[in-house]
Amino acid sequence: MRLQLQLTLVFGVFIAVILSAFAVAVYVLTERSLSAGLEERAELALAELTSGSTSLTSGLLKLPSDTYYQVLLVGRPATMADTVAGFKASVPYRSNSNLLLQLPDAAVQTLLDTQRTAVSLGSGSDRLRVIGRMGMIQGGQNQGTIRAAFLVGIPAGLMTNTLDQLARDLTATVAIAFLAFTVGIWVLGDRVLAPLRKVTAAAAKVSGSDLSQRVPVNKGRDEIHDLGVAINNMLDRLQESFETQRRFTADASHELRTPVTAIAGHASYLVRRTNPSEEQIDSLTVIRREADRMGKLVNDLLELARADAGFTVNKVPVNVVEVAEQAIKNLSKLPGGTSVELAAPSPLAEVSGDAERLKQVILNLVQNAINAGATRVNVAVTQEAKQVRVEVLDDGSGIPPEAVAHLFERFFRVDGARSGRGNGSGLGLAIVKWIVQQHDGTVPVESSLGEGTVFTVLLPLLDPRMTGEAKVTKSKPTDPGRLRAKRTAETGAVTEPQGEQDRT
Amino acid sequence: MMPAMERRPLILIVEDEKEIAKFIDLELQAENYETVVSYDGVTGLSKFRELNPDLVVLDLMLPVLDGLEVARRIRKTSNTPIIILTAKDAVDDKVTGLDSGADDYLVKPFSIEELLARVRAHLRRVNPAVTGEVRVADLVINLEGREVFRDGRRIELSAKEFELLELFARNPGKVFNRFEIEEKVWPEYTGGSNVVDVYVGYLRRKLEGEGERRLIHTVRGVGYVLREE
Repeated sequence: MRLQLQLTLVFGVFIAVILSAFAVAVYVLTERSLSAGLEERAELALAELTSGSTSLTSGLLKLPSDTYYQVLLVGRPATMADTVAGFKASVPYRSNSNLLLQLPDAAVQTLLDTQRTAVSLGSGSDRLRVIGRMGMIQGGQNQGTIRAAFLVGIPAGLMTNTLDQLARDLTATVAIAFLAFTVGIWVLGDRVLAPLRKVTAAAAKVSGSDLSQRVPVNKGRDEIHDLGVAINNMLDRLQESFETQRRFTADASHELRTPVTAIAGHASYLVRRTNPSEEQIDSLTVIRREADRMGKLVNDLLELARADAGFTVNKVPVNVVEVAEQAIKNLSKLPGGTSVELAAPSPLAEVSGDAERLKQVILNLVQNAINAGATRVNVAVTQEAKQVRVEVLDDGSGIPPEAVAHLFERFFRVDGARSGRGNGSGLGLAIVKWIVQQHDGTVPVESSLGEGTVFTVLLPLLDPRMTGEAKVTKSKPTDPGRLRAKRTAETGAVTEPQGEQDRT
Repeated sequence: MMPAMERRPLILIVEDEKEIAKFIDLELQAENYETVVSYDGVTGLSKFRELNPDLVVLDLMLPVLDGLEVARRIRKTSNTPIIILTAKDAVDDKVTGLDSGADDYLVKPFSIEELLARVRAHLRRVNPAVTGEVRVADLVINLEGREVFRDGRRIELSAKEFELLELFARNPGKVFNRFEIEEKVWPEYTGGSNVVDVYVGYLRRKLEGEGERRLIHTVRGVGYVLREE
């Protein structure tokens, strides 16, 4: 979950709990204090009635005007009146309202048992707080004192209204405060996290081939500033070590070129210019061949060092059909019985690219197939609506599915061992990948064990606007069954059928 | 082997790596050239002034005075062909090398056969007695060596580009229509594509790379022709 959302949720829940607790506390306290006030008023009124010292009449006169009261003579001996039903049937003595009838039986029972009771009647604005007490009343001149029940009802509607209003106000206040706080946290979170997001965006731009990007460092000396500085320091060190490694590869390859050239040159000189014995020729040929192989490895390493340095290829309009023809012509000696064929339905399939490097792609893919034991390799170049498709299909042993993902890694070998079969450098496919990427293309691979492998290079078609001269003319559809351009290279005898008689 | 000449061509080798200088020297001698070797730029330059060789094989990374500077100073006073050898092969280095006045460029590790072929080609170019060449204005097409120079500058052509140029060069002044060209250069295709126009475009781009005059002209409604005007 996004940090901003998490922050907002956590703080939102927290503040909701706090505000609610506060509101409930306010409500409860207010209610208690209001109830206490009401109770006190009722007690005072009751005290007036039961004071006994003054006459009942003067007590009634002192009651507040909104007070309901009822005085009942319970009688003596109070046998009958000690049951709820009997009590309810007691003689009303003085009253301005029949409070007793409204009293629930439980309250009456409490009055009988404990000599006092307190209960709330009705609801809303009609609420009434009723308290009752048992006491004695002075009867007539010769009747002495009589046992009596005093009931006082104080209207509590006002309090209920007040409390309801308070509850509504509190709810609204809590809701508004919660909303304001949540929005505030959200906005604050956004402001706090914005620099972090900037740092993240900048860090995402830093990739293997471009370590020169730096994250922005804001001015204030806060945590975000420190984070930016720390990331940039890390990038500095990373770039430095990466650069050191790349430079080392480049320098080492570079330094190796001179000895490799000297070894190959001298071996070649001995073979061609002196009269070595057959055994010596064999031995010198090995030296020359291995020196050439080393030379290729050195070149491949340099090419990848260049790729790592962010080198980009130089692009001009290139005919991939001819590139493929040249690649197949350039193939070094093929093992006996191996054939490489090119099929292209049209003489032209133009892309914007670097001809030498595209040739390298096809060369590497074909060489790779041969190194993997293929005896027939078919190269097909076709121009499609928006792309040029180059397929290199072989009848080799195929590639296990788990190895396909690693094919384009440097020095990766399908059999795991550095067997050195053929003369591959182990870098061919890594270079293929880099070159194809440089041409905005892709290289999907399909392989089935025991049947063979197809590497497909897809390159965007040359934009016709790029070439001033090449007009886009409609080409007649060519019968794909009659692929005219075919080269067969068998046992190193690479032949080019046409134009041969023109050359000496 | 070189054809017999009154004087064997003299080749100056300037290369600080003695092992490389050695086998180049041996190979060139075996090809019947006279050779002089020097191991640094200053010595190389003074040898050049003293001996006035027919061709210079020049390493780029030299002590004392680097190869580019040597090439520049030689070019101030002489048109002697210069072939640069280098372990650098980035495009920028190549451009700088050719800008400095060098005629050709080989990257180490190079094949000695390639170097010998280039030496032959450049010596032929300065020695017009050799046949197998077609000249149209400042364009020199060596049909045997399959090499093309414009104003002394070596131009690298792809196989098809050369075949197309060769067709024109063997018939200077002849106007070819697209059908004829396609039949001769792309005999395996039945036609219908604009491959000829595209390749004429490629050729023009390379032959006029430094803003030179156009030599392959469009004849409206007919085709193309190679001629001076």
